[in-house]
Amino acid sequence: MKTMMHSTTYRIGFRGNRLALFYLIMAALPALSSCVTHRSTQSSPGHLVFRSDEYIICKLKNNETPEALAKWFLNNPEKSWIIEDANEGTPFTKGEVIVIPLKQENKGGVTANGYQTVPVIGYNHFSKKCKQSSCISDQVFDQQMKYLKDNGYRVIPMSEFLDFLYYRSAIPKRSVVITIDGGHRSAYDIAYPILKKYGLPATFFVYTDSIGINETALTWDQLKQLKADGFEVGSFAFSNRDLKVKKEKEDDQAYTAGIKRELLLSKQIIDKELSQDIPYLAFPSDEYNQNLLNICDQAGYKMAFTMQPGSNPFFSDPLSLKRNMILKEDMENFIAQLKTFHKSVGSQ
Amino acid sequence: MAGKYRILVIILFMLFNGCANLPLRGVDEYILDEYLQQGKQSEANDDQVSALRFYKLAMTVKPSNQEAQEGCKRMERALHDSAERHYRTGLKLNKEGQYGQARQHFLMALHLRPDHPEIIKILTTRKRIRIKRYILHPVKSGESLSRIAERYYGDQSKFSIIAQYNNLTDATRIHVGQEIKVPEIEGLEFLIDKENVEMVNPEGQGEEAVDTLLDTELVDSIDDYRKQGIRLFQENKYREAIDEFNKVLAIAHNDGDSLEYIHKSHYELAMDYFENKDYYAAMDQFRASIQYRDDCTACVEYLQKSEELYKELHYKKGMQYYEDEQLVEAIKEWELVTALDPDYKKAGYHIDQAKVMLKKLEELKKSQKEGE
Repeated sequence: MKTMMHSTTYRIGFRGNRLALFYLIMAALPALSSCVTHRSTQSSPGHLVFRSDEYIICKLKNNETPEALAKWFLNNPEKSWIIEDANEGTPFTKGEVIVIPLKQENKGGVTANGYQTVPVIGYNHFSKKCKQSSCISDQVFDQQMKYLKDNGYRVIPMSEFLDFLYYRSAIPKRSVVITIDGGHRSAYDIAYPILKKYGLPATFFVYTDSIGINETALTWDQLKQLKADGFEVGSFAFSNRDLKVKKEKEDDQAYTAGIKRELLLSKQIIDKELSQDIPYLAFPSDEYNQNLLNICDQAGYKMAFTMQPGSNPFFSDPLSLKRNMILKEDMENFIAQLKTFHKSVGSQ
Repeated sequence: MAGKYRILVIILFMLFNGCANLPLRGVDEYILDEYLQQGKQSEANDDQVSALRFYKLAMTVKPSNQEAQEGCKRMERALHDSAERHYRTGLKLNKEGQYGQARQHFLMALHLRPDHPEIIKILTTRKRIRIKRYILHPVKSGESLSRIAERYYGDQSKFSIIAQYNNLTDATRIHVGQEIKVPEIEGLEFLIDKENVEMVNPEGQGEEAVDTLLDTELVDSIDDYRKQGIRLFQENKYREAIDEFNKVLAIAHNDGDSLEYIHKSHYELAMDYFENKDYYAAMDQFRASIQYRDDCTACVEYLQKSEELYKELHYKKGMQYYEDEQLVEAIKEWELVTALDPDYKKAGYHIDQAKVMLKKLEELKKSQKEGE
């Protein structure tokens, strides 16, 4: 076929038909360009690059890292997890063939044996010397964050978790979410620098009526700084009242108004102060009920966290998400909370 | 002048030679073979998801490779079919109240076809019902959840509300003496003698508190869902409209407007599929529309038409494959036909014939190999 094409060209050329030759070259160009989309000849971190709509396949020239490949092929080094997850078991060393998916293959993390779950871990307050339970020391917190970093866990921001829950986009296989409740100053003084050191995102849930009230509480300025650094701030309701219990001497109307205020107003206040529209809420008490969820829904919250322990698959109810509160300085217990896959009954 | 042309001819030759559709180099050929082998291996292990991925990777290396192309087609069809089977089983189990098992089938279908729109909808739509109060009902001997639903709501099919409210993964498994919470739902008649029955509100607080809470402007869900549904219907967003009407019907099962609109929505959706020649999906939607109005003659006629066209389409595809000597594919197409209508034309006979031919071909291949 190619020889035939070549000989045809030759004959036309010698007939002296310049125009025909011009047309032939023009006709050959699209053929060539279609080849370029298939095999990319540009210089890249790997060589031997094939490309289709769904995949890029490349053979590593040196020991290119997933980050370098993600930067080159996906225009974003933070997407390196896509390449790592797609090449599990393949070392990133010279000569290895690496597959780079260009489309999201498995948004819900469902396999034949089970499905992905996302553990959300919750902290309360921190101290250099803890005296009470639910307090975590700076050393232990550092150790736990380091553990996540060193053991292949990917701490994801809340917005990505939300997309996962609506089956909008895939997240890394070993995703974890970090939350810090209550608006204590220690979150800023102790947790924030450690999170920053390891480059881990987190969401801070705050009571709006206690912000800046004394030196143990977070201030709006500190929250603004956290936000500027890429952390997210959600509502822990207005005060720490139990949303489902009517206060003493409170009539029905006051109770209803109170709950609405807790849920609606707290969001409005935070959003206004921090110029945001963040739909995340954590229930301040460990119980919730259907009516509360309805009000959350109507108030514009897209995610609400309970204190029920467990991990969350994509089909969880986003308004009653499970959360593992880290209340003890126990590393084994911490590791046990990081369940990122649910094996189906009967699967091997 | 001739020299100039010669250069141009050489350039042209180089252009063609640079093309990737030329035979692959050694290493490339090796990679292609690896993917094809892995594809075949996965297929043999019945792991069609991995097989499809490997065939697609093979096609990335060489788009024109016929083995890879055929593998892709074969796997896509197989995955589509088994996903549909799991989906249908899931729907059936859901209807029977076997929610845990239904979900396993939905998840399996989603694993096989990660873009299955209905399953994504089912698994990510979170219905919220408004519970006013509930009563505790101790299960008596011989009582089922649907009988309890009949007693409190006057409608057996509402058992799913009770099952879901009690977080039961299997609605058929309740035992005598078990205390079941039966919720009173806004917009749904609750058949109890309130004087003699002790009601509990979900908070465990006084009844009035919840009533007041529910009287606020935040409540009025049925109306909202219905209005939203009608708006979506008018915007030709039938699928979304159906979701909204289903929310209304979950609470008020006799809502006339919703019944009429959900019927129309399924019908319009079916017509869309029909026009796009997706007769299988059209049949589903026509069936659904008939469920809501069995006097719809157009629905019945179109359902029959869709069925006929579906059979004809796959019958012809089968014949085409047969003529192209692609027997496995031909059999698959005809099997789609016989699954619906075992007596259609001579599909059954053709399948048998093709199978005999396949067997003979295999024997021939085997004997040739042995001869070598």
